[in-house]
Amino acid sequence: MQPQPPNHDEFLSLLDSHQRQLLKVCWVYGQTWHDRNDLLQEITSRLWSAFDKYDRSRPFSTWMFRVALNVAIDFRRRQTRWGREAIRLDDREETDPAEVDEDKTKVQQLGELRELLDQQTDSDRALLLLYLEGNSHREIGDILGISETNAGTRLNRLKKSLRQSVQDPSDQLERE
Amino acid sequence: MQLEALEQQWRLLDQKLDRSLALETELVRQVVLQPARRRVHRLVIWPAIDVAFCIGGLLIVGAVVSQQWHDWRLVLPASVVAVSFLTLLLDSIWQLERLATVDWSGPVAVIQGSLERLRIAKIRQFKWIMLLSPLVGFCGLLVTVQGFLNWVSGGRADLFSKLDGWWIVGNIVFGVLFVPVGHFIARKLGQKCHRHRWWQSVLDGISGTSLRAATLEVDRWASLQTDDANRSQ
Repeated sequence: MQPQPPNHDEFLSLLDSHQRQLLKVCWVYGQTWHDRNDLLQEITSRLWSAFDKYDRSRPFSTWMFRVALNVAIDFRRRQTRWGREAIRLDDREETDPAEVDEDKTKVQQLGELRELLDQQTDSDRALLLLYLEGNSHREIGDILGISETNAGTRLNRLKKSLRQSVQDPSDQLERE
Repeated sequence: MQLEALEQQWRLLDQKLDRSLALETELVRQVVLQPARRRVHRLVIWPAIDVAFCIGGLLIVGAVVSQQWHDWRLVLPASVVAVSFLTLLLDSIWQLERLATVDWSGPVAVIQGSLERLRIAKIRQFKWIMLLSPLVGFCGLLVTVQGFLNWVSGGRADLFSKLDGWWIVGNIVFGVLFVPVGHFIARKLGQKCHRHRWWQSVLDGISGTSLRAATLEVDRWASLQTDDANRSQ
């Protein structure tokens, strides 16, 4: 299909229907509220720049995830290189205005989620994000540039390591 | 962690994002509707500066040497500076060319491998700039001062007749020895500098630690593309 000239309305409409996915990518890869906003602008700018090459016969989410993950991983790598990764867990959420009245339990649970994601390699983090977003193995493979079988194998391996990484107290009680 | 707990936390994230959706929508619209604010990728900035700096440097060195091309005492340090600038210029042009051809909508494993190789080039460039800066800097100083004196005196000044020969030799020897010694010091200090992350990053860049880490990343992305379906689980 021939690339079409970019259309503001079409792009914004597509982005509106996938904005939640975009925000999740920013949440996973941005350490602070400011980082997430910065990352969102960077991803959006990159999506808009590349929109004229978007093949409309393919799902928008696949294309969007590719661009978003490429930008986000690059963003995260740059932050890590210059020592910005060492941000305390409680510092990350305190600057977010939306967190001010948040239930402390929810904040803690989200903090645990973030810690878990931070422990993963870049590739595993992307894999986990795509899985949690409900993408099939084929879609995950398409986005990451690996085979469907490879995506399934790696995902199973990741799930196994996640189960083994932290022992659930209720599991221990059952075994006893 | 149980997968169910993970999925529950992911759904919690959905609820949290509901609160900021309206704000972010506005942010997104601003980026799209103001094309003048197009972002330049940060990896482009330094190579672009390097290209400009190297072209300027080469022009200055060329102008100085052209007036005294028969004087080996000037040609030798000028050659060191010119070769350094030329190498940096070619490397920076290569980086810019690679950056310009990055397809951000390409498969993640492929693009991240390319970006990591670009970072390797950048780290390597940074390492050699730092290690060679005393030597190249000293040679550049000689060329620059001689050039300035030529300009002021109409070509009659001779810097090298005013300087102690041993002082010049000493600085050159220092510059050469700085390469292995600087590498060694950076490696030792980098192991101790955990509390100052910025300095650690600089020292890791000079010692090669960052280079090794980036190479591992390239291998990791490459291995992701290997179809290991037939390997045992």
